[in-house]
Amino acid sequence: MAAHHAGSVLIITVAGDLAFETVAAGDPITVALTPAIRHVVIDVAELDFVDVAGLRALLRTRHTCTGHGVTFTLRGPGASLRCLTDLTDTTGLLLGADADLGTDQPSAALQPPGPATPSGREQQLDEREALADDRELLADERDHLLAERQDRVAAHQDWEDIREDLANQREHNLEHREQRPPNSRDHDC
Amino acid sequence: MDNSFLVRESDRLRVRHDFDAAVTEVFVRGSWDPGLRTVAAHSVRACLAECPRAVLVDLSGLSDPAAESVATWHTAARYTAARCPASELILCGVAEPVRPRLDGAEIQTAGSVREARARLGRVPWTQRRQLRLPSEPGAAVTARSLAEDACHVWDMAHLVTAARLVMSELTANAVEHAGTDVVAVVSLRGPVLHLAVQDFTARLPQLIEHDLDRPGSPVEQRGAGLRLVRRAATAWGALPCVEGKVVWATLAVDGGRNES
Repeated sequence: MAAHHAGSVLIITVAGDLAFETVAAGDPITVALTPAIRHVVIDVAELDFVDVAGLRALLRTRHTCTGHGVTFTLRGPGASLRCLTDLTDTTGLLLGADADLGTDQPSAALQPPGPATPSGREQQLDEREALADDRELLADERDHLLAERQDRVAAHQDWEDIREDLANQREHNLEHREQRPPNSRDHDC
Repeated sequence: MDNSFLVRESDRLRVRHDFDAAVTEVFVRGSWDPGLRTVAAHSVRACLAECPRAVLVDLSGLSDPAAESVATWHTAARYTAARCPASELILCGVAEPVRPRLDGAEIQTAGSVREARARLGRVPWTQRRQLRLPSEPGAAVTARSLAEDACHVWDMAHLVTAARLVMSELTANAVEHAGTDVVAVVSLRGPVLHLAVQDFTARLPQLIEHDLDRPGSPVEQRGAGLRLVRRAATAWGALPCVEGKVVWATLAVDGGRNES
């Protein structure tokens, strides 16, 4: 993890895994806030794996920032993190409206929108495409989960249907037996 | 609509999972009544949801003079055949008057659990990876690497994200709550990728729903790991083992329905 600041922006780069085993050793995201810092950017482009413990660390950092009146932005979230925020309903909280910003100039991310340089725009287009791919991936996974849930409902229904089926059969057999002429070889069940 | 499958035990029903053989034994004792029927139906379904090699139901201790349990065993057998074709359900030690009333092609019986196990033979899945790990945070790293590697080798890269998350959470939970060695297993069982972590304490996990009245994100509340497993997995549950317990989760290999 590396941190550097540019003016009023503090950029913390988190790479590798942010998970149970890294957080267990103590809060890894120590945010060195000085009065000069007005914006914190957590660059997670190199983040490989994140779990609930890692997510909690990010949320704690966000909380610390907002507590000091400092903005909090996650930059470059990958498919892994997006999947996790989606599954935990924290996408709005962590990725929010700033999710689309991913340029390399730290302060540019926080300036009002203006004419972008050609290379800057290309970069933004690439990043938007990558985001679109990620969203498609998430949409696919959502469909997958939906299909599985429908499957489980059907499974429960199958069990009930089979039970009813067999009960009807037994009733039918019972009626059929009662209608037959009495036979000395019949035994009561 | 719930994908959580926690077995229910009672004074008349016990469940024991054999982790290595992937066989679950259900012992039914005492008098059959509506209460036992509910517990039995629920637990047999929970055992089947884990996609085991077989579920063996020991009925040698069952007292059912009116043969009222027959309906449940028929339902269970048909359900297994229709929904879990890779698993076998074998009713063991069935006595009068239930036994003569068990008919149908789906019904499998055996004289005893031992006989049923002998008949089963070896586990059919060739893709299986297992690691025993000490109770420390690093176990979660190793376990999720195990899952990730398996997904790549078995040509299921699309499951890597979910598999890593699920395996990591299950392992972290075991390390945090059990404090014993853990055994992490990844296996391919027909249409599902099966992830499981065994630890050597008996207490089964409880899924804690998040408290809507508390401020902040549900993620920050206790139990978020299992809630995540529930969201990410096709199904999940826990089974008592001879030693300790196993917490398992499955991921459907493809998104479509499992056709019966």
